[in-house]
Amino acid sequence: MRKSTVFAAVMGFLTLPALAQSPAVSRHPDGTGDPDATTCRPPQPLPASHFSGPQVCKLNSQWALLRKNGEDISADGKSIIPEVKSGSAGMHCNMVGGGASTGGQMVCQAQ
Amino acid sequence: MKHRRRIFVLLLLAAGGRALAQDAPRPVPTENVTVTGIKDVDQAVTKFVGSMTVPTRTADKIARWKQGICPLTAGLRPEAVKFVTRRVKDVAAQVGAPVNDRENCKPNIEIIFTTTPQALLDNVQVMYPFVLGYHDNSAQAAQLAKVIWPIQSWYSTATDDLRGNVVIDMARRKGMPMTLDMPVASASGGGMQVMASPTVTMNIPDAQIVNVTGSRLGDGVSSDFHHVVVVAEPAKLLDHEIGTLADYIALLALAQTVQPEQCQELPTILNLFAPGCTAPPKALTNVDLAYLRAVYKMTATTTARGQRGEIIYQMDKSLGAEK
Repeated sequence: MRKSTVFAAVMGFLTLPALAQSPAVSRHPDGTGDPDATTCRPPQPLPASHFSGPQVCKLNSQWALLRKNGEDISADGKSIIPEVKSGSAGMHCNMVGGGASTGGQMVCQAQ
Repeated sequence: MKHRRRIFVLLLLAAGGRALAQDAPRPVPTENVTVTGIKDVDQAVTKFVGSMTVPTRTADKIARWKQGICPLTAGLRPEAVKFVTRRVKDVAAQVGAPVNDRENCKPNIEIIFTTTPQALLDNVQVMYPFVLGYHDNSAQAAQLAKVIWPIQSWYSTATDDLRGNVVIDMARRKGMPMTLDMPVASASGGGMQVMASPTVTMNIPDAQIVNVTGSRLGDGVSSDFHHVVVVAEPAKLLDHEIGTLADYIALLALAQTVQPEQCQELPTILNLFAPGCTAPPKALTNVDLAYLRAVYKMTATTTARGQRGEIIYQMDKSLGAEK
């Protein structure tokens, strides 16, 4: 009993600071907030691949600089690319309904 | 190692291969400027060294190259690229800086000619902020990344301790939190007394272990260059010959130097872009070479004050001998 209490206390002590420091996550970080805080973009699908790239974590000041210059980080996290404006970015489209002879309907949703 | 290759690719991309049309390069001899016109050379040298040298923030030492330099130039025609790279290596060899002469050496000095220097530095700030040099926060990083001069340099330094452990100078170190229990000093009884108890706990986040000698003359720690980036904007350099630019770049690449905002009394190529200089030298002068030689002769592990003293002594000696 006593051992488990000590263990729980130690674990709580070790994990709480880590949780408190976990960076914010945003699909489209725009650099708002504390410039020295980190915001992570979740993995994005790599072009022409079934795999996703890594999570990309940058300081808000870095995201802000990218947005100011109309830029973004590539899905593989390795390079800076021109920013794709929202509306076309992250849309996943599928044909829904329709048969062999009748046309279906294109349904797009944000990823 | 991977990091360095990536930086180079980024810089090359940013340079965009925009070549600068230049005359065919030709070697520029070092300018022999006599400093007899100056009333007090010693004082001028002291002022020069005091205003030009920048100790590192982490070790408070004047940094220099410990590993062999491997310059790489981009954004010029191939012959100009070769010329600038060669000139930086030649100057390094002349002043006693280590040179890596292997053909496929890993670049540690990147000299980029680009029409969009600020865009390049913005990208560096996002992808490789450590290249900008030591900074504590994003505001300082943004300040460092501002392009002010037609040719400007950025220094990434490392601290080399007594046992040869090398750590890149960064505010966000990957150290470990350390807690120290220190005895409390009390002010009772007219003087400071150290009491056995109680103790006060000091929390040091990101603590780094550095091996030092404990001597006041030299702690065994030195500052080395890890990576130097020199960025030049061709449109602002059309009035200058490639040889002059190569010499200016060589000085920036071999010593962390403050680019002067006013004309220096001593003849130096650093006056090239300083406002108010009527006839700046068009090549490295004997003052510049004396300065570089002194930087590569000084004791790496002594204090910054001691290092400055050594540089002044060496410069006085070599310039005095020419009088």
